[in-house]
Amino acid sequence: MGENYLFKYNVDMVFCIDATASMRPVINTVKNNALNFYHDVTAAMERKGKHINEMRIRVIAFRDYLADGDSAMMTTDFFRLPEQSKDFERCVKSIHAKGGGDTPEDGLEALGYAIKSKWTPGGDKRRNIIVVWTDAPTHKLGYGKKSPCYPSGMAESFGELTSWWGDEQCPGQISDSSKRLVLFAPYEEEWSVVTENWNNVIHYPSTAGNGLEDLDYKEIIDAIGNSI
Amino acid sequence: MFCGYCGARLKEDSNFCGKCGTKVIKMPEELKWEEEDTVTFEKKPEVIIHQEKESEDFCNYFYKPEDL
Repeated sequence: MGENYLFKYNVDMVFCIDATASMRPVINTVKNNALNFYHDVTAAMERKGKHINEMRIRVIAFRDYLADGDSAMMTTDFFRLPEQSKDFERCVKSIHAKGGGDTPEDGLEALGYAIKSKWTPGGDKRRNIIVVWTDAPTHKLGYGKKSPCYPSGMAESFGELTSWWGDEQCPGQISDSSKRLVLFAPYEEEWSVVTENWNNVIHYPSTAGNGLEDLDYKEIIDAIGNSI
Repeated sequence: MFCGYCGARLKEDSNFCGKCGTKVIKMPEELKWEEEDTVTFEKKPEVIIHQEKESEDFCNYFYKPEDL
């Protein structure tokens, strides 16, 4: 514990939250605990002998480009915690679980945006963590291209998205040593393809369609703490 | 009509009371209350409308992300 305490972890997190109707249970869990989130994660880290120096969180709320148009992909800048805990709370409380169209959602596009976040470089121990929360499989990349809201510059294929993530041989957008992807998602396509092909991924399989209601807040904190 | 001072009965077009001499003061037309002008105010039961305020969807911290 003493040796780890010498390092100060600088943590950037991006939450990719499926904001469709079935996700109400876990979105409510996030809303109810947003104000305490910084305290709970740092406490979990202290128990492991790790100290968080700085923490920032960005939120990307995603749905379905073809079904939800303008509200299919919404994002925030990074919030610095704990200074902006109230702003972060206000932000997550304004996410309403609705819409979605067909079962799969456009989670890979959200992942693309997350990978290309404005991560802060530097720090003794930097952690760049993406957490995906969804109870649905994801469309293949580009499925929503017919929507006028679909972004240009998005990865054209899973292969290109994989290059953005990178690996030990070919660095991506994020340093290999600092990146982590935590998936609270069904073990279905294309999430299973991500888990089987990308490094630094921790997948907590969820039951499709039940809004991650089996997941309790302590499990979420432990999972995030384990990824740091 | 009657004299406002002594109560003597007067003709409708009288300008003075024939008994006491008091001038008859005629109400201007606009101040006369006709029965049908009477307005009755009834206390209506209070109707409480519960309207749930719809909270904002995506507060102003959210924005549509730029093209990549």
